[in-house]
Amino acid sequence: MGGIVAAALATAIGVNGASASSGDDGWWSPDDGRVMPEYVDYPNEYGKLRVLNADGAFSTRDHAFFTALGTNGRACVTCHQPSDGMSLSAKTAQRRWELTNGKDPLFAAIDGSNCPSLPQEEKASHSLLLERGLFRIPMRWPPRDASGKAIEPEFSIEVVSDPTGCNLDPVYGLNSDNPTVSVFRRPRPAANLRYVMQIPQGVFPYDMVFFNDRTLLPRDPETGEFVPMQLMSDGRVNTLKEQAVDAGVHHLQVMGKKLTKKQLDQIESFERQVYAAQVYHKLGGDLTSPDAPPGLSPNALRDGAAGRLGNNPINKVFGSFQSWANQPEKPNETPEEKEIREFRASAARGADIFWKRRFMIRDVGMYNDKGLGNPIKRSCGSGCHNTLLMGMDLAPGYMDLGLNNFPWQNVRTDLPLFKITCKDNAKPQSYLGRVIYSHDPGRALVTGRCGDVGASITQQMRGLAARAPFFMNGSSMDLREMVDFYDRRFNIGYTESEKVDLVNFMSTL
Amino acid sequence: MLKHAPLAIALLSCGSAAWAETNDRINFITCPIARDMGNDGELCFFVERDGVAIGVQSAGFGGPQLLHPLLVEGNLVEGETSCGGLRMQGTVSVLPELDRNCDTIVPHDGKSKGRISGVFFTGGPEQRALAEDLMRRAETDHRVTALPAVYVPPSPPPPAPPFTTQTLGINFAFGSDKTPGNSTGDLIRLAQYAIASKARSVTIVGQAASTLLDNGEFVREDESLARTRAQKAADILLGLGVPKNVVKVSWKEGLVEGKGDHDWRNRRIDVVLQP
Repeated sequence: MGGIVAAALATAIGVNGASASSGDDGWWSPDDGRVMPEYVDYPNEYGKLRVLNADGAFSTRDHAFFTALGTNGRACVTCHQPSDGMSLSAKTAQRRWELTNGKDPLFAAIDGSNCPSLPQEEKASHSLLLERGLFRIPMRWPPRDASGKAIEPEFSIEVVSDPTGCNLDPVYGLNSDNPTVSVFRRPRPAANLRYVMQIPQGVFPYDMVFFNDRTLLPRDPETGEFVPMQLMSDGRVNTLKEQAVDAGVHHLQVMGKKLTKKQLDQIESFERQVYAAQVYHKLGGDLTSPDAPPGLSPNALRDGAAGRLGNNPINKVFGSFQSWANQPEKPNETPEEKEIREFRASAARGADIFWKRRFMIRDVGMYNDKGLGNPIKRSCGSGCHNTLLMGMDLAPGYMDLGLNNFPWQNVRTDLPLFKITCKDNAKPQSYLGRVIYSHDPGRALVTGRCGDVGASITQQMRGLAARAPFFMNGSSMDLREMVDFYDRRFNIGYTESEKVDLVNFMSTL
Repeated sequence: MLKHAPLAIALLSCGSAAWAETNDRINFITCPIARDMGNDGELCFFVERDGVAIGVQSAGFGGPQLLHPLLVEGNLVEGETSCGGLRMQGTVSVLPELDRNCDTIVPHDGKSKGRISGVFFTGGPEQRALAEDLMRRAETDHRVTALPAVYVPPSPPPPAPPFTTQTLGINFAFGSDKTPGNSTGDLIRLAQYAIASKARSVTIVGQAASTLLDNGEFVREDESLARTRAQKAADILLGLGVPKNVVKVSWKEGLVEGKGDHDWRNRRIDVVLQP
C-alpha cells in the first residue's frame, strides 16, 4: 500500500517528490517496480527524513538494488529501507513481522533469524532482528586473506555463552565442518555513500596510507585507485561492488549465481547519488530553510564536499548552529512558537557540546594506541566524529570503543559471548591484554590480530532519527541511550540538560 | 642519580627557566604520568626519576600511554620546563604489555600551559588564508560554515631532472615496525622520485637493536623486526609502483647492541635510491 501511495504521489507531482503519510508504513518490497522520486519524505518520531536522489527520479523496475536477485526473495532494499535512512530500524522489522506474520523475506533463515537451525515460524527465533535490528553475520574461522588463504590467527576463540545457539550449532557453529563465528550487527545506511567512499582530502599522506599501521590503503580492484576503509564496520570488503557481491552471497543467497556487471554498476551508481537526512523537525521546522543550520538536510549533503576534515572552528563538523542559538522572543509569542524557539536553542547548545565539550578519551584500543597517547582530551566533534557533514572518523577510525568488549559494553545477555586468548608471541590488545571477553571481536575476525579485537569503524551520523537502535550491535535503543553510553564510558559527567541538548541536536541530523 | 636535581627543583618553583646544558643521559623504563593542562590545554606527560619530574616528548614515536610502561631514551637539555619537569631530548617508546600500575593522572598545576591542538595551528599560509576568509564571511553568511575549511594543496609536480642519489633514514619506536610521524610521507615521495627517475636501484636495509639502560640491563627488540621494518617499507614502494626488480631488501642479522647513548637511532631502516 505504501508503494502505491508513494508512486501515485510521485506521478501526480511529476516524480519530483513524494511524501509518505503517517498511515503509510513506507515499506519497499522487492520487485515493486514503482518510481523512486527525486526525493521522498518519511515521517519519524522527530519529524521527517528525506531520501534524495541527486540524479533524479527513476523507475525501480528491474533495477538491481530493488530486485530480488537471489533465492530468498530479498533485494538490497529489503534491509536498506528508504524510510529508515536506507538502513532498517527495529520498529520497522516489528511492523513487518506483524503485517506478514513473519513471512516477509526480511526474516530469511540465513541471517534474519538468530540461527538458521531454529524453528523459523517462531517469533523468538528472530528476536535479535525484531528487538535490536540485528542480522547474523557468519564469519569463517580462521579468516581468509584476499586470495582465500587461511590466516593464522594470533588468538584462539571459545564460546562462553551462546543464547542464539548458533555458535555451538553442529552445522553453523565454530566446531562445525565449516567453522564459523556468528556475530550480530546492524545494517549500515546505504546512503550518503559518496562521502563514505571518498579518500580523505588535504591530509597527506593519509590519502594513501592507513593511519593505524602505516600500510597503504587497499585499492579498488576495478579501477586501481585507493579506497577508504569506511564502508563496512569491519572493513572485510572496501568497495561498493565488493559489498554488493558479499551481500548477494550472504544476505540474498544468490547460491553460486554471480551478479552481472550491469547489476553491480547499477547498484553502485544508485548508492553514490542517494542521500538521506532529516529534512523537517517537529520543533525545529523546515531544515532546508535559509535560517536553518547550513549542514542540515540532504540538500547540504548533495551539495557538500566529501572527504574533508570538519573538526575546526569554522566547520564544527556539521556547520554552525548559531542561527538557532539566540532567536529573540517574539512579541505575543504563542506557546508553540516558544517551544520551537526553545528547541532550537537546545539543539544549538547540543551542537556546541558536541563540538566543544572535551573529555578524556582513554583505553580505546586502536585509537589511543595509534600514536595519539592515552588518554587524550577531545570533544566528540574534534575527536572521532570529525568528517565534515557526516560525523564519521576520516582517519578511518577502527577502534574498540567498548561496545562489544568487557568491561565497557552494555550488559547483553541476548548476544553470544566469546573468550579470546591471545598467543604469547602476539602483541596484546593495548588496554585489555591477552584474555578478552567479547560479544563481537569485530575487525579481528577479518585480520586475525589480537590488537584488533572489538574494533569497528565509526559510522556516519546522518538520519539518526529514522534508524534506531544505534551502534553496530544495537546496544542503544534510542538517542538518549547512546548519550548515556558515552557519558558512562568516558566519565564525562553530562548534566541532564546537556543530555537533552545532545539528543535534540542529533535528532536534526 | 640526576646530577642537577636540586637545581631543577629550585628553578621549577619559579616557573620556566633556562637550564645549564647537561649531558645527563637517561635510559630507563618507568610509568608515564599524565598531567591535565586545564580547560585551555591538552594533557601532557612526564616521568619521575628519583623524585624529579622529566617531561617526555614523543619525538614522533607517538604519545605515552597510561596502562603501559614507557622506555625513555635521551638526555637532559637546557630549556624551559616541559610538562612541569626537566626538558629532555630523545625519544620515548610505549611498551606493549599492560601494566595497570601505570595509571596516574595529576590535576592541572596552574602553571603548565598548553593549547588545544587543531589544524589551523599547524596549517601553512594557504590554510590560514582560507580559514580567515571563511571566518570573515561567516559573520554575515552562516552557510559558509558548511564549506570545507581545510586547504587541499594542489598535487606537487612530479620530480624532475637532474636526478641524484637519494638517501632516507627512518627511526622506529622500540618494538615497532610502524613508520612514525612524517616518515611515511617521506617514503611516498621517495617512491615518486624512483618512478620519475626510473631508478636503477632502491636498497632498503633494516635493523633492530637493544637499549642499554642506566641500571646496566639491556632491553632487546625481537630480532625479526629488522626484516619486517625493511619489508614494510618495501611494500609501500612496491605498492606505489616502484618496479619489483629495482627494490632490494636486506636486514642486519641479530641486534645492534646498545651503548646507552642514543640507542634508539639503531632502530632504523636506511633507504638509498640510485637514479
